[in-house]
Amino acid sequence: MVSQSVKATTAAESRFRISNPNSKGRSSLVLGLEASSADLLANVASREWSGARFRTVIQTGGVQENDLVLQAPDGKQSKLSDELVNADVVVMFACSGDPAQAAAVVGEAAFGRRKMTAGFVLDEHNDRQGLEKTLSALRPYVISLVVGPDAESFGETLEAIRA
Amino acid sequence: MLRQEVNELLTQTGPDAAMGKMFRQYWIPALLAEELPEDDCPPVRVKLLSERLIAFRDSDGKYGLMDEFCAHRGVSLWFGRNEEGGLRCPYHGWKYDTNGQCIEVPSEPADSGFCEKIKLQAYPLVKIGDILWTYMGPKESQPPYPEFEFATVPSEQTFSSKRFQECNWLQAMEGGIDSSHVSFLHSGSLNTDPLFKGARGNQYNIADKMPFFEVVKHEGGLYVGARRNAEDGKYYWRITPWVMPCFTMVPPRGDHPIHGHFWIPIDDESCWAWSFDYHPTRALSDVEMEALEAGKGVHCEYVPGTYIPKANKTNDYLIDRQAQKEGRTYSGVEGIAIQDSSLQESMGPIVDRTKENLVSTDNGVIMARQMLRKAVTALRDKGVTPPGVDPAHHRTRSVSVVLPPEQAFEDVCKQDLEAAPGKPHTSV
Repeated sequence: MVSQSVKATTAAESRFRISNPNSKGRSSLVLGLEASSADLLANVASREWSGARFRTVIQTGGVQENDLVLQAPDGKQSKLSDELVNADVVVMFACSGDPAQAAAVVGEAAFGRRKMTAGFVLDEHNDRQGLEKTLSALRPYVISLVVGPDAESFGETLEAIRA
Repeated sequence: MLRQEVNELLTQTGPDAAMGKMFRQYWIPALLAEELPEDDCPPVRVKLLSERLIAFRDSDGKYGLMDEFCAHRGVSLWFGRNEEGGLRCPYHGWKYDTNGQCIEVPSEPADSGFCEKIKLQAYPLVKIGDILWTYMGPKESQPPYPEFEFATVPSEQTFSSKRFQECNWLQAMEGGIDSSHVSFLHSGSLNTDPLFKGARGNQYNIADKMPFFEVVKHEGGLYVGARRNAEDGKYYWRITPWVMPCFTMVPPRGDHPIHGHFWIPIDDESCWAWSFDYHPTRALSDVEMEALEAGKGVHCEYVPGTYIPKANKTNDYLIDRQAQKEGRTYSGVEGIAIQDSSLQESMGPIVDRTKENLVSTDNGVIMARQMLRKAVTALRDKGVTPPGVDPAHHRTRSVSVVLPPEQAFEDVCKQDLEAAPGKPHTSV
């Protein structure tokens, strides 16, 4: 008698896999940690996404402690605490050499709300010293930290997680 | 999630496929040396990268790997007579040397020169360590021999095996850089397998099931670091190197041998899962060799006389639901190798990655796919040699280490991640 596994693993049987969607849209909050990332983020944001929201930290002071002022590519401002409410995952973005101090506020706020965090550091120039500074700022606050070589790689990473 | 066209680009490895051409830039494991144990031994059928080949060892100990079929009437040379410096087709006596050159056509006058016009496609086959390696690409871009440490240490320090796996190479390889599955699928083995148990690092693995990940690029591929909490606020790091296109090393545990893998496409729906264990500074002990030969650790038991795992899809991988229920094994399947292959084969011959729901802890897999795609297209469009071809990229090691929280593994462990003869490895 042929085992269940033999039959189930054929290419022919693969055709009978249910094709209905197996997930609902995820709400990804993509956060540029420095105002200098705004243009790059706006460029990535202009592609088609499955509900991802792109924001850039523009102010670390002047708001309630443990909160930040964010700006969308269209200029609209919001608060981190409000944006986190509906976020399933927070993807922090920084460039190699960025101080990325906002990572601590974002990370604490996300952890406090049981939100998944990830970090992407763009290292276009192989700047080891600058990279280490940025990684150190992010490391304690992200479950997964990636160093990528270009903006295309950042876009692909977001696409891979259905952002 | 991966777009279908990228999935096809990365999973198709035949001679005309872009990824196939990239695989043909590398030296790859073709056979275990034990498969051709002596001069004039029986030839062995080999299928690699969707090409059917025959391997043999001639009367002078030279290895050959060439088109399986005689140029005359297409007979398989597996039936051939391996004798007096060549492999002779038993149908009409045509004979070939290890370069695929026909050296005798008995029906033609010896001085007619006919046989000089007959040559089978052949590839170099060289023994390095206990593996026979081949290079199937253009002669002009043949790189220097591979220098992976497991293959260059003295023979008493290393052990290699291979097993047949019935799925595309990529989904098997992705398991090797997916560090997050270890805490679940393989959790039962840490305290019982003779090649794992007793290491201090195991306790960190068991105590902290939610590791943090850090993925950084190196010249030949990636380092995937998984960090867990250790004592006094420190971090226990397990660092997996991935060298393009399909080599990984598992981070070590205590003084146990270090293991790792290659996944080499046989065709697009099956691959060879190569596994090795070696110790950089000492011979493997009798106890370790006994365990390795018994299929412990990352190796497996076979159907006698084959490289097909004893637990395979025809017997539902000998799944033991009671062991699953009692937690002796997490999935009910015994042994790390088969725990992996059972699940990877269950995905189907080539998994449909458009249906995946990857999460951030899959970033090692995500980055590896990106690197592969970029390298394949750079080779195809601009002729750029891909990472991992240069033997300098092979001289890497996995590491397990406890570090203060402010230290980055890629800086502190730079030396530890580089292989060098006789240098002790860094392991907890």
